[in-house]
Amino acid sequence: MRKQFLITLILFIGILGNVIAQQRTLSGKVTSAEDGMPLPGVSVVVSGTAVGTVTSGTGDYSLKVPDGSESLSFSFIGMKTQTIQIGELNTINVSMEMTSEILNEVVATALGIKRETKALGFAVQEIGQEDLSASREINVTNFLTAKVAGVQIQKTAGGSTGSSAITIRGAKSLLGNNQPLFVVDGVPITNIGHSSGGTFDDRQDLGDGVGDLNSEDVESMTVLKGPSATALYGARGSNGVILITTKTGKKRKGIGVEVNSNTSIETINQVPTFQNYYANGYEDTNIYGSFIEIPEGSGMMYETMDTWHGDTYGPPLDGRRTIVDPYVFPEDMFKKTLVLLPQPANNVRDFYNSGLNTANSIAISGGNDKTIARLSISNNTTKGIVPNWKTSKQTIVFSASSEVTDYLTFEGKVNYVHDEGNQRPYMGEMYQGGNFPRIFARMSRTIPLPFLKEYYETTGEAGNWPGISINPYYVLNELKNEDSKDRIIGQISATLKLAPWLSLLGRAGTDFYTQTQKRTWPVGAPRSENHGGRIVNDIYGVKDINADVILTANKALSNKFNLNASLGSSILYQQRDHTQLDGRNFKADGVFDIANCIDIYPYTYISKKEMQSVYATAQLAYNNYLFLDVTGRNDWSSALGKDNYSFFYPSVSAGFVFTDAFTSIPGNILSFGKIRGSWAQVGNDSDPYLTMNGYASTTETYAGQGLTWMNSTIPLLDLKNELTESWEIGTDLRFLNNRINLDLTYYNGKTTNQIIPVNVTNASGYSNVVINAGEIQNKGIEATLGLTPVKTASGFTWEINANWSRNHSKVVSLAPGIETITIGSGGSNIIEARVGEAYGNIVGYAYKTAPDGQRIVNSSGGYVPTDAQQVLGNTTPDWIGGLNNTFTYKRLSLNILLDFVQGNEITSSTKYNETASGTGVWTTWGRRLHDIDPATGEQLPLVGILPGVQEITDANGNITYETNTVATDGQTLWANRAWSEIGEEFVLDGSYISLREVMLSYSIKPSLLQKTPFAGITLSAVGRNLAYLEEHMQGMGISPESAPNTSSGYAGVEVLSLPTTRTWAFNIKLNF
Amino acid sequence: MKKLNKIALIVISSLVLLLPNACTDRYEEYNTDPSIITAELVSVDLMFTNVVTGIPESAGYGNSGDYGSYCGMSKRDDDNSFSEQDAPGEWNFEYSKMLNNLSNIIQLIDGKENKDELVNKTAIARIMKAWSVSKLTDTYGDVPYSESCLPAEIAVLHPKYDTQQSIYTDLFKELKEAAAQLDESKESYGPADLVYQGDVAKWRKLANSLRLRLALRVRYVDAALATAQISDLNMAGLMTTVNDDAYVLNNNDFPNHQNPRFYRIINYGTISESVHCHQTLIDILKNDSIHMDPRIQIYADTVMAPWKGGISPNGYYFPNYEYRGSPTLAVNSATYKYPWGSGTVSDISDFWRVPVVAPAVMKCSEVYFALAEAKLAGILPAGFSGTANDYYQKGIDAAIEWAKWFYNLTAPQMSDLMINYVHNVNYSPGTPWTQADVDQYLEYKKIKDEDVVAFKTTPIYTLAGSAEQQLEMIINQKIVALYPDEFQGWCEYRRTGYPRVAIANDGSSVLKGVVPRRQPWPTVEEQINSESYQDALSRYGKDSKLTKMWWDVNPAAPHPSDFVFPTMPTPYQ
Repeated sequence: MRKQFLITLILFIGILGNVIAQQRTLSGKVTSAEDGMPLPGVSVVVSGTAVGTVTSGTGDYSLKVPDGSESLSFSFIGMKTQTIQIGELNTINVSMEMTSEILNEVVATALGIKRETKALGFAVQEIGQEDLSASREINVTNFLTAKVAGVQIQKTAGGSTGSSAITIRGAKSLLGNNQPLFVVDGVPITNIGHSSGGTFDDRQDLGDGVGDLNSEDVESMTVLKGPSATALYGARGSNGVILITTKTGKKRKGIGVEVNSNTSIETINQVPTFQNYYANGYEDTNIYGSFIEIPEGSGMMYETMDTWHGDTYGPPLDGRRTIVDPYVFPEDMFKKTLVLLPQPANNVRDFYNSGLNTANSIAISGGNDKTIARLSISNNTTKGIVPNWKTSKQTIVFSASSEVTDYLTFEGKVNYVHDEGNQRPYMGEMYQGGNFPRIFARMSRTIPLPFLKEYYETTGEAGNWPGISINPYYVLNELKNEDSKDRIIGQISATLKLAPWLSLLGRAGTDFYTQTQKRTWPVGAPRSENHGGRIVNDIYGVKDINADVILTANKALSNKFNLNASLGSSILYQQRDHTQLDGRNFKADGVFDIANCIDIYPYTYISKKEMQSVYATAQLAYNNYLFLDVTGRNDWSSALGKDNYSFFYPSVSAGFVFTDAFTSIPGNILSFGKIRGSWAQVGNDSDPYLTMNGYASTTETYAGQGLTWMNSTIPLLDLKNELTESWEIGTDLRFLNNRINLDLTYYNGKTTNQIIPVNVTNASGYSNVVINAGEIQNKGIEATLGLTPVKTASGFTWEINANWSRNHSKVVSLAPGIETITIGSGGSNIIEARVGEAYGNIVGYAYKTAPDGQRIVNSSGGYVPTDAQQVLGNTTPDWIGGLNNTFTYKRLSLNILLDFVQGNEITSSTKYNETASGTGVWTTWGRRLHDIDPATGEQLPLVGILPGVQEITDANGNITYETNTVATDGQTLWANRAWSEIGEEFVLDGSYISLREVMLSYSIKPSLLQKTPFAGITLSAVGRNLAYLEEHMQGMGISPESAPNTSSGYAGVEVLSLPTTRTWAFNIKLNF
Repeated sequence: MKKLNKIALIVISSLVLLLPNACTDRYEEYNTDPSIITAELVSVDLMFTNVVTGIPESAGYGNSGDYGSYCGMSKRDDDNSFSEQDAPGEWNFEYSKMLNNLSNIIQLIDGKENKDELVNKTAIARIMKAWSVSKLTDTYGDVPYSESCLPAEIAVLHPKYDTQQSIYTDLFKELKEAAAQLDESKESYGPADLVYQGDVAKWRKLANSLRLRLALRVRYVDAALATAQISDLNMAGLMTTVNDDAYVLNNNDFPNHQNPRFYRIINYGTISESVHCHQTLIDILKNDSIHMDPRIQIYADTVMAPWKGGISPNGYYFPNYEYRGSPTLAVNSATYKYPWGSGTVSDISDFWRVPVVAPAVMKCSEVYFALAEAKLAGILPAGFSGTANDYYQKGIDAAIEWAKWFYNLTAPQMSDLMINYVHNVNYSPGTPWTQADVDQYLEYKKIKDEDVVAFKTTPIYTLAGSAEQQLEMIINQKIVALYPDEFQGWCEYRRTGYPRVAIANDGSSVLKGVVPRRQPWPTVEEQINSESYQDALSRYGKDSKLTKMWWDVNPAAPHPSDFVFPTMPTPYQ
């Protein structure tokens, strides 16, 4: 197969070679009449022949014309076609004018090829400069939130500098992270997040790869959603591709300077709420059980609160005198006494700060006829909402391109990023971990935060407090982490123009970085592994090398047919390494160096992967209204089984602009109309090392003896690629001179042959086995609607851009004998992929109910879980959407963006923890069992009776139900639901509507700036994540949209995230 | 120009073609994890060391209190190992740490050319495997065995559950064959063997002693089988002295190799373990207060420390410094404020919480108690000359000797534990301890020879009464000797019904005072090994804690206790 392909290739090149025989060369430049900017991609054809070319990126063209040619025809979508007589001219420059009613969009598509939107047989969506500028987000990914149909963005719990998860058209891979590929100026970059947390990981989110880009350098972002759009990126593009085009220099007089300064303030939007009536303890008891007289002989009795009084089901906060831990302040007996009073409402909120982000950048650009260049430098610092949390990022980008000769253009770009983080917050649910929301969710309502702070500041220790897993001020000051990253993304390319219609691009890009993180625990830190002092140094190395060669032909075959074909090959080499030195037990207290550790556990991991590819693409255009695209690609991946390195996949798509074909359609009613359709396959490989297994070892010894054991994964020697196959149809309609734009897409895809490490019973001797099986289906509808309801002569316009999409997923099959795979967990539930069900089911125990639907209560008065786990919800939304309103009046514009996510459920660890520990507001219901009315001394009425029924089985085994009358304590009423893992209690409706962004911007009229050095000044103010117009978090003060990490299985898992924040940003942009 | 095009074309063709000329020669290297040790290179010795580190992980100290409530050894506040919760720990441990590696060691050696020279390594692995499998089946009943832990190429991913009867049949065969296979003239594991340092003779004694243990376990269901398995044993082939004991010391080098009870002090930042002495253990050791067992202070603390005096942290005052146990399923109630918590019942003594203790596969005292029982049952072969009482007293003597040995092992570690943790202000209320306090404490806790002599004069030291009464005496002492191996204790209790475990019949408990007879299979089995699970379920009827396994047929077990819920003293105000 490969040989045949090569022969075809040689023949193809041979045939092309024979046609290279021309007589005379014409050249010139095509510019836009509107702004004088060069126009790339303009079709230049000798009238009446098939001889032609297209203009280059700088608008230039050069064409050998046969003798006797009379005229050249210049055409470009959205522009008036011009025909110029050749005569004796050698140079023909053309200035093209726009036609008013026809769209003229050009988007970057696969391989960075600029294509007219009109010609595409599949859906793409671009976010241009106007949507990006000023709406500052630290991570550029978040620009896309609510703006692109079918794309869901979810920030992780890592806060403002954390990672973002992106899902395009649903999760396709069962266990992969399903993140799209990011391509910057034609070269893929890595988007890895290191050590982002799972449910029980005790780590920090160090941010992801895309977050390293300076958002001010981004010109536009294009989302390629379906496989036909992405087939040419191969395996890595199987989850969609996001193309990022960065700004380049422009041909101009003098030097262009652009200065941008942005300051944004993050304020806490909402914090978790807590009950404020009861103290820590159990069984709603009125006292802790024992008293101490202080001072001795005074008759003043204090109740002793013990450290094991961990949960908040104790006495009321009624001003009683207690002693917390009689041994924490030995030097001052009175300091330890504590009067139990409700905590100030803001005590948790006050723990957090406001965040501050400043981003300043300056860009210098310039260019002449042959060479353009741009240099940008940025500095970005962030102060997080948790005290001591700081990050900073500096970027330098230099890009240049030069036409060395008429035949050869060089382009190069280098992007250096330096990133530092300090005291990034902990995530996850680890007991005695450093995650502040976790500490607060379980913290008793007894001890005021200033008390803990004072204790830490006085003693330098955490202390051992009842109801507090770890003193947060100790975490803040003693558990340190810092990280830094140095990254270089570079690329060079050369374009050789072999003929006016034939060019060769050679390109090489690299993306490599080293990221280090150092975490330290002082001697005495809680948890045994940290107790003797601990230091963990992590070094992550990432190296990607991409090289490709593309031969592109663009040729008019006749005056009706135009062929655009590419033949390419590429190679990708990926290397990932991770070295960890985990040192424990310090020799000298306070020296945080690995050499100071008695026990050192080193860990190294290195993986290498290479993928080689050849691909071909051809686009045939008929009369510029009917387009046919065909692509084919073959990959060879080193991660697959020895006999399965190679895999091939094709695609075909077609577009028909019927408004151009049938010119009788009145343009003022239907200005533009296109239908499109495509079918494609795309293969996907796997991580390395799934094809081998063996024995593992450790530096740990036992009594001086080494230890070795068998790894418990059964490898798959003949591992094959996954395959996604999908088709889509769509239409693009524009009415009333583009006042109404409607774009609709329906897609239907399935991914088969999934690569899954399946859990098997340990009784087999193994814990999992790698298999190639399973199928997931994703189908859905995407719609975007653009309206211009108002457009007045005075310069006022109102534009509405809406997008809506729904994705329906179905797990069609898994491995033989496997009905379900667990893909995530949280809030006592698991997230599953189960055969016959939608991906992302939340599964757990529900409330056991009687036939009439009433909950069953056990003899102790608590609810009972169902016997078996059942589906409690699904984390995938029924639909998502965005609604953007833009009001423009002359140079003033106002933008309001709403973000809709509807019909999904989340499983909440916050609710689980606040229920288990009795800190949630709802857990006060019914807790009156032992309360004595202080005025009368009488017992208050018992209200701790759960609504429900008791199940009574008589001697004959008949079951009857009687209304529950058992009064019980708060633990049984509430905590029991967590302890019995009644997951239904912790599943919440995840739907929300967010007022995502309001932006006001004003650019000063150039005429006012004539006497200043400025060419332009733009001021803007943006508020992001301002409010939830709808959410169903039951007043818990948590966000429905956080996830612990970027893997799809955790998309609906709320794991005690940091409070959500509102961002207020002020931006000044100066052009010189 | 034309020439240039031709050259260019050659360049292009080469470039375009060179790159994808899929040179996959290095792919195999790329896809080879350099950290992986292959089967050709792996050392079975190091694998064996890793396996035997499982002994301190699983033999007694780790899951303190889990089974103690059902053999009268200890009492956990919540008795939670027998609540409705899934308990897959033992299952995962035996299959994932022990059996898969032991099977693999046997397979690896079998594939070697010099396998005849390595026969001791195979035999020792078989003995360890038998120990591991017996724990597994005695926990769950029917479990995957014959189709479990096969080589990866022929692994059965949904292994069937073998009946306990067939598993026992094979365990006897394995232990017998392995003992016969051992050959003093050939290579052994040497220092990699943390149990016996490669001493082949001791392994043979362990194999035989384990066979004696398992033979007694099946004696109520299949007396003939038990008799047959005992018939070829003789005194010289069994463990007879403390030197024969099979144990692995904990290791202080790495925190996770330390005694888990010590590890937890640091891990949870508190010395509180919520595990106390059981009423039954205290009752046996108190010996009707005629003369208390000389080991009692090694096992238990008095409710208040007599060497310090004072009021308990919770304010209760016990003038007699007495030992008090807690019955199974005793729960706190509103009537009695924390009647079963620290300060009102005896804690397990801190000797069991130092970093290095000696978790055992088997101790020789158990052999003597087994012989006493076998003699009593009339199934001991003629070659054994002693009376039941002889073996009973030798068992007690061996257990006391072991307790002295244990004191000597742990006493030097007490200073650090007491001064830095147990009586340290960061961990526990009260005044911090000095070395003088520790010395005073150690002296108080020491087993005194005169107490041993006095103890031997009490009726408890001599078997008396009916055969059934004698059996009860034997098992009572066996429980004391087995401590802290609660799992073996629970097996004895299920098998014989002794000791008479004090159980508070608390109606609100899920078990309603009934003794659990097994652990249910891990719930995940129902999903990932469904067919085999359903097949096993059809034999058992119900996957319940109350379902009895094959050997659990003694109709008299458990024997009821005459325990009466005591009235608590009035709190000191």
